[in-house]
Amino acid sequence: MKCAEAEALFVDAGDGRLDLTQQMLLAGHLDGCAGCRERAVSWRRLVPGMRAFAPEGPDAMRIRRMQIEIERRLAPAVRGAHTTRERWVRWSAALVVASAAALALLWIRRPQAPGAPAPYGVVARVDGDLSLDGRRLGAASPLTGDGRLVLAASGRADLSLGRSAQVRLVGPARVGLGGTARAIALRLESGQVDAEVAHRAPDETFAVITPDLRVEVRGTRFSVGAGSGKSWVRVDEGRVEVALAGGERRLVSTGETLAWPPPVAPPAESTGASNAAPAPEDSPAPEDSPAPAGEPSRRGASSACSDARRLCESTALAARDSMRAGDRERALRQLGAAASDLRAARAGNACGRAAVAACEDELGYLRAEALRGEGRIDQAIAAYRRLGGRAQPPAMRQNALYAAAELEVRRGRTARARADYEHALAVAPRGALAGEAMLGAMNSAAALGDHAGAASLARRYLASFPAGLGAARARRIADGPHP
Amino acid sequence: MRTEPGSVRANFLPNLFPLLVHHGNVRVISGSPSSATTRGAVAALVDRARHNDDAAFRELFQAHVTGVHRIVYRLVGPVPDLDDLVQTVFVEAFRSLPAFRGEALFSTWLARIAVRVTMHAVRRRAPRAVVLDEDSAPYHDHAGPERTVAAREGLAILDRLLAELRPKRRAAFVLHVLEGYSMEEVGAILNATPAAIKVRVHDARRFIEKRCRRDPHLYEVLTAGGVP
Repeated sequence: MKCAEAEALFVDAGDGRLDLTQQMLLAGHLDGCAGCRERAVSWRRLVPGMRAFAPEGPDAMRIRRMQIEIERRLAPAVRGAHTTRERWVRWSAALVVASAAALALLWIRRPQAPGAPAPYGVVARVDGDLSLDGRRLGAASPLTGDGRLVLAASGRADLSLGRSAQVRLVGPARVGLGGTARAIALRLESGQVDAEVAHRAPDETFAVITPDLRVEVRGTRFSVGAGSGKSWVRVDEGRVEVALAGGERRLVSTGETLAWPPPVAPPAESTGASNAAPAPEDSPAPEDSPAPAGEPSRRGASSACSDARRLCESTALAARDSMRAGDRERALRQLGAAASDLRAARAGNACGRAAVAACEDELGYLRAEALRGEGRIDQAIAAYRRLGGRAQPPAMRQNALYAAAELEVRRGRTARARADYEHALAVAPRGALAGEAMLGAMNSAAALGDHAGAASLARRYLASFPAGLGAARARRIADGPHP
Repeated sequence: MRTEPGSVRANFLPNLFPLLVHHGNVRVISGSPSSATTRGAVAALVDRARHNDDAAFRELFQAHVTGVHRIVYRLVGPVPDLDDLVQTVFVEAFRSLPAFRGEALFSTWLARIAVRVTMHAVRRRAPRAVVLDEDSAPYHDHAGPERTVAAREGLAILDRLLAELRPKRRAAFVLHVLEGYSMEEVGAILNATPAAIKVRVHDARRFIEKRCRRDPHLYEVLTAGGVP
């Protein structure tokens, strides 16, 4: 064996990949070659040393962000992810069908009878009193594109509309049905509509119209509320275009809430950092927010809110840039200054939190991450928890609470970690981090000696994620004996 | 050829080469060595993902994101667009999933995509002068508080050392020496013959040895990471 051949085996030898013959050849060479022996000793120390200097993996927040971005980039591709052969078969079949249809038309030379119109929709489930123009509806009742639905207080009704839109009405609600199966238009007079709309074909539309705005989507998950002279839109996934009563058009993205007219916050709401502001679900969901101001002051508030929103968004961008450059202290200074300005805007009764809620939550996240990066762990945990108590949508709250729990684990505070994991699970039981939160709670419970609790969480995990990453451990804990 | 983490062969060179599989994170591209990272579980996930099962996509991503992040980091260092590169790796992988035939481990296939995406980005990037005694603190996103100053310094020094290697040598060295892939696997990942990989690893090793001879402190720092 030559020196170069021996040297090429150093890593494999350390990793246990050499067979007996190779090991004997290498040992024989090293016995007789002082240079290689010396080099082998060096690399025996260097390899594990260098491997140990691995970068810290991305934290839960970064993983979630990457996941969202990947899903966004994959969205069209995944839906059309067919192999070339499948595509070829589909195109061929379509071509054959089209040719046959054309031939039939030419041959028969008579007009086709008009086909039955696509069904507008159907009531999938009702909990409470639901009526259409005074006629009571139950599950499986068909819906047509006209009439007014009325749902009693505390009732819920799930509707399947058009090709692939699922709508939940939350009572009390009054909704006018309009349009066709391909161009659905719901006129929400009062109440709340939660909609999940699959991506629409180019000629399909789905809109929810309130007295104050019109929400039009192609594919997304969102909620619209109306009543007491105001309306709001909250987007959980995707993006919607909102046409306001004055003709202005705005895009609302995931995690954002748009209330219109913008609610006016009470003057002395802020008591500390921007994170102490009330939860967005208290303000944009308008049933308990103050009545809108008169038209002139509404315009003034709108302008102030636009300024506040711009400030908030530019701060988020600047802070993110600072953090990317590794200057977290600068990011914290930028975030602190913006929080003061936003507080001042609210204190002057110029702009309610609802107008900048999503952006403020983003600032809160950035602050928590900057604190974490700076090693100010307890402050970071507090910042995450604050977001966990108020951010929208629930997925963001789950992210924050999960991050707090992970930090508590590193701190060795298992009981607090368990509480955060369980809270993270409770706020979004079907969220992206639900499985991880369940595992974290299970492991924490086991570490705390609560074997019954751990086993219960393990069974719950196995029921939800039978092939999940933690299934093996969950099975061990569920089956016992407990570690 | 490649062994699963934890499965080791008899070791007849215990003094010179105690098995390294428990040191560091060699050959565990997935985040946690749990059931879903075993070949069967991953194959099942891949099969579900091929049928556009969103949950399977998510599980594959979460199981492998840490490993992909580590490989990309070691190939390009602490760059601001690290997360973008990791995202691109997964996007390309998921788009190419129908072409994954299951002949290699999913993690090896993913590593191949990670290297391709990263090398492509490196080629498009403007060359950057790097010096070993650079004082400026490197970009370490979210370095945890438990990471000691020594560990940070060690990682920064390793980053700068790797940055001095030519891209092909660096890739071969990272995959074989730091990630623990065999020469044959590295050849398959980098689309080169094992002989070519041996040469690249050899050259990289000689370069590092030369550096260590010139600066004994460097050797001490680099070997300190492996001390339990």
